[in-house]
Amino acid sequence: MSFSISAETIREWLKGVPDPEIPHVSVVDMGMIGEIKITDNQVVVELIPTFAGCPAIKLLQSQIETLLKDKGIEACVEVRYDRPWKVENMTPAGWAALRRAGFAIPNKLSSDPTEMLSDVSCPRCGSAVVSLVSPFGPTACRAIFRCHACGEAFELFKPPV
Amino acid sequence: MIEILEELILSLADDDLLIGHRQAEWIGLGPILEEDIAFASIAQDETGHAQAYYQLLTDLGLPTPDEYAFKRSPAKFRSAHLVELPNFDYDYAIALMRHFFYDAAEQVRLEALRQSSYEPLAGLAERLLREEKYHWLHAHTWIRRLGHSTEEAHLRLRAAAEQLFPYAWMLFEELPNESAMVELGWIPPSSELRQRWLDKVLPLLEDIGIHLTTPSEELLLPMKGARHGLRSPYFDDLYAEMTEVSSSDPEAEW
Repeated sequence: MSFSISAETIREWLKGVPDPEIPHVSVVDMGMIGEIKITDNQVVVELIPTFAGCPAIKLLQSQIETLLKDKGIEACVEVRYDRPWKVENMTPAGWAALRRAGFAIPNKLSSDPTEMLSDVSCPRCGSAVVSLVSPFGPTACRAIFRCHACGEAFELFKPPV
Repeated sequence: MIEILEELILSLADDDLLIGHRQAEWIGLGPILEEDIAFASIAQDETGHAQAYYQLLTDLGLPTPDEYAFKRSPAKFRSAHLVELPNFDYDYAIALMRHFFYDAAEQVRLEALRQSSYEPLAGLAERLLREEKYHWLHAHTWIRRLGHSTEEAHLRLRAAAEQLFPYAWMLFEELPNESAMVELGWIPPSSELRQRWLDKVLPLLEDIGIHLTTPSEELLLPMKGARHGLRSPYFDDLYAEMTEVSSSDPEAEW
């Protein structure tokens, strides 16, 4: 068995797999798909979890395998914990989808969490007069804030730093 | 060689697994909702980190993460006693102080492991450190905030620090075959890591008026051997609860 399909085509298809916790963004736009290796008899897709404790990894693995199976491809999903997921691997479409979904995104990326969490604007009214309620939210990649201008609570998309 | 690697990885993984379990016990009991969520979130991270550590061994043909977590005899665990301690009467000062001591240690260990000559471990440490920074931020922020608040907060934090310090000290008990690990460039000596940890936690505690002294040998003695398999008196109950579901149907697929 051999494949005439390209890695780019597979990457395009995988845009059909949503992030299980923020379904507005695909796993591709989230930067979770690493290398796609195509050999004579196998397709290997690298999956890079955002947080190592992400409980949805098994689900994602099977969703990716099922999607490719429907396209006639037997693929193996390799989960890579030995390299960090990097926010730089997110696509512009990914950032835009996060904004549309109502998340604040960090104004400045930094390897210092204090710095990153202190430069945030309200996604509803744009005010920078906000305070951090908790660096931990409903999922590992979300932090809770409150806006003092409009009074709303909101969530920051919080990448590992 | 692989046995020595297993000793190192299990000491890291078992600490994370058990602290994750203990922190998860706070779900529904946090003093405020945000702290409930924070402890739940941190616990989820730690359990995930344990799994990723075990997986390093699985990749070498050793047992799976589930087998390590749920089907291992207590004497084969390599956890420090600090993470086995129960939440007693759910004193938040104690929970916070354990979190503070433990996550400072995690920062120190992971910073060192990034330089490990065992590449899969160095790569994993790089990833975990990026997540752990939020734990450390959470821990030291609360210690400072409460430490500078009321007299009651100060007294309770001080009692917690004094009670837990010997346990935390023993996070850095020398590992079995440690000299070989050091020689291979896998990890610096535990005594060196302990010093870095002390340099991290002591100034922050002194800032809130808590002064700790080196624990006496007498206090440390009951914990000696934890990294060689000596479990604390609290382990059995913890293990029974942790494995309750998996042992009800050992052959089940999860």
